[in-house]
Amino acid sequence: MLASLLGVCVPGFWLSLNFIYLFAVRLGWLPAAGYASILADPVAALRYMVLPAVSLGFNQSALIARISRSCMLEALQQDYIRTARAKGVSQRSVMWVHAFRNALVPVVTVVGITMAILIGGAVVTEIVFNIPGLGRLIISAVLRRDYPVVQGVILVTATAYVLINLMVDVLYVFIDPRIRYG
Amino acid sequence: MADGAATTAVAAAEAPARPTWRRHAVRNRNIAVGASILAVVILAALLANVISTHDPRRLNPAQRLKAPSAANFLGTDEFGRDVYSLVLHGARVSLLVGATTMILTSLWGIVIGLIAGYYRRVDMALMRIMDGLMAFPAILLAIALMAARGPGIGNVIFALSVVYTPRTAMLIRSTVLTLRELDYVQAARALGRRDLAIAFRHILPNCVGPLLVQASFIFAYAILAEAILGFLGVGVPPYVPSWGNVIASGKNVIREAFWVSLFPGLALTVSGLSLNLLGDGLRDVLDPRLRVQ
Repeated sequence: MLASLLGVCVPGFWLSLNFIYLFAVRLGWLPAAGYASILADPVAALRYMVLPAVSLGFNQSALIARISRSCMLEALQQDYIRTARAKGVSQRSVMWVHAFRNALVPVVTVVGITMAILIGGAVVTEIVFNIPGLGRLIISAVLRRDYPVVQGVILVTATAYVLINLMVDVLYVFIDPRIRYG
Repeated sequence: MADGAATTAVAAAEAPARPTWRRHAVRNRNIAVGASILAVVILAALLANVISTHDPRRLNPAQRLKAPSAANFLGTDEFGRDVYSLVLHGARVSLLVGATTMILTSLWGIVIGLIAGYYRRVDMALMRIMDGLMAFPAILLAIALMAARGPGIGNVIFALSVVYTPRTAMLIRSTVLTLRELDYVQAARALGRRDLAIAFRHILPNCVGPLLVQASFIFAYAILAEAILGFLGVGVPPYVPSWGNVIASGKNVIREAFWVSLFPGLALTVSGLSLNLLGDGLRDVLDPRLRVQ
């Protein structure tokens, strides 16, 4: 788990810089910064997206790994795991069917929150990679005291946040049939 | 945790009279490693004037963008400043901001959390304000506050304290809510102790565990956030050597001189790692539920 701890601690913006140096300057595999519309040129769009996506996802995936670990540890201590083992269920089945599915609810919650955060919170990454997204828009608006734009971005982000949380709530029902609404 | 079983066996053999959390803390490997790294960083910050080889503010255009060498251990940046000395002096700014933010958020968190948890009538109002502050992405709120108040170390500390106080306040509040229903608090009330005395003598000491864990993580967040603010150019002024500022100046010359942004970032990572290790270790020790392994 040291790797995931390191993943949480590495500053994302610094990681992006090093990625740019390694993959764009040194190796020349990928463009250093910029953006292409996925509708106009899908291949170029993907090439532009690799570095920002990897460096942005680095911290979040480490975070999700840590939470999955603690949820699995907690699930594996439950009585029904002992019951499943006692009745001779195979190790793989115990892991995936009994433990993992029960550990999944908090993990899905975190994944949902992460998605919501990333929609508006990719501020620094968008600046490093020069991507004309919501994050760069709100920064330039804040620095110029352009309050209507700030309000607009916050509104869009908040709406996305609410919608994603709604989807997560609906997903719970499929993951854990014991959860019912109504 | 390869030697976890061995440690437990030793502990059982010695049969300590009363395994207090301090005893556990000394044995915990995460705490030991985290605290030692942090001690090195703090020492480096304190001795920055002694162990640095150059004046970090002195511009020396003749020596700009030099690779790491015997004269400049970690190279020089676009203005000819020595990166090694910049990193050492940057540690001062980072630790100052981190520690002060941690102390301020803890103080405000205790005050707001105790009031909200103890006096149910103001709870609604206080917690809705906290929810409102939490609704913004943390870094965005800090940037907005910095844009409103201008650059400076004091303003960075203020902005980060505002951003991180709600988390601590909510933590304290939830701890108080469970504690206030416990029998010993009811007993203290039945004995006629005043609210303030109950809050400070009976409830607060039991919040210390969660608070310590939270504080070490806030320290880590604050150091990181300070660097991000400096990187975006809304943190401490550019002439003050801070890790974020140096990484930002390294960004402009990433093609020619990768070392300018590499080393302050490494320092940032190592400090964050030490604080996270410390927080993880403290949580293992202070939360008996997780001490099962």
